[in-house]
Amino acid sequence: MSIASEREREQRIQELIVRVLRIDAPVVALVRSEIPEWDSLKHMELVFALEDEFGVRFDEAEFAALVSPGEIANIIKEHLAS
Amino acid sequence: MRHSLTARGLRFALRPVAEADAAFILQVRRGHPFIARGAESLQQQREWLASYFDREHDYCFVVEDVSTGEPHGLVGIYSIDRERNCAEWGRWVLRAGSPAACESALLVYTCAFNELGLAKVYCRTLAENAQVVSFHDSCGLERMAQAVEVTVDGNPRLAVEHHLAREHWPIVRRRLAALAERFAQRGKAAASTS
Repeated sequence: MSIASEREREQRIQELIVRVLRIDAPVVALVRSEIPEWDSLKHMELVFALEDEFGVRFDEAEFAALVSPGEIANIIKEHLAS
Repeated sequence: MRHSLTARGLRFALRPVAEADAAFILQVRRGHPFIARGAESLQQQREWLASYFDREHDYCFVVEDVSTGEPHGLVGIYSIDRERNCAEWGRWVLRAGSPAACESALLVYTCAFNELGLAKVYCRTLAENAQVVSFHDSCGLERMAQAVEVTVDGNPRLAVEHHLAREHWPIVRRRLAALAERFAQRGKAAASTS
C-alpha cells in the first residue's frame, strides 16, 4: 500500500474516532485511558465501525489493544497485509 | 446474601458469588484506583464474604464467560428499598481488557427489572472515574445534575449518580443487546473456524 493511501487510512481512522466518541477534535497522540469519552460502550462501537470500514475482523486480544490511533493503524495494516 | 439468581447472556453470564471466589475477588479488586480498598489478604476477603452472606437484600455476582466459566469480574445489586422498589447497582469491577462491560450491564438490568421486579435502579460512580461516568451516559441512563457525596475508605468523595427507570429500560436494553449480540457472533465465528 502506498504512503498516500496509508495516510488516507489514518485519516479515516481519525474520522471514525471523532464520530463514534462524539468529540470535537482528533486525538492524534492520545491513548484511550486519556480520553474520558472513550468508554467501554463506545469502544465496542468503534471496533465494529473499524471492522465495517476496513473489512477486517479483530480477535479478542486485538480488541483490547486498539487503544490509540497509532495502534489501530498498525493492527489494521497487519490485517490488510496478511 | 446467599442467593440463586443467575442471568445468562450470549457470551457472558452472572452467577452468585461463592466462598471459592475469594482469591479472584481479591485479585480483580487489587490496585483498582476507583473502588474502596477492601480486603488486603485472602483471610480478610473470606471474612468479608462471610459477612456478605449474612446480609439481606444484597446480591453479588461473578461475571463469567459462558463457555469457559472464566471469571471476568464482579458486580452487585444492593440497598434494595422495597417501599420505593428501587436499588443501587455497583461494585462493578472487570479485569483489565475484558470485553464484558456492555453485556454485564445488560445482565444486571435484566436481573433488576425482570427477576427482582424493581421499578428503578441507580448507580454511583466516583466523579474522577470519567470513562465509567461516560459509559452510563452512553448507555442512555439519566445523569443526576447534582453530584452526591459518598464515603470511600472513610473519606468523603464526590460521585455521579445515574438512574434507569423500568419504562426507559427497553431503550437501554436494545442498545446494549445489539452490541452484545455482535460481540457474541465474533466468538461463534472464531469457534467455527478453529
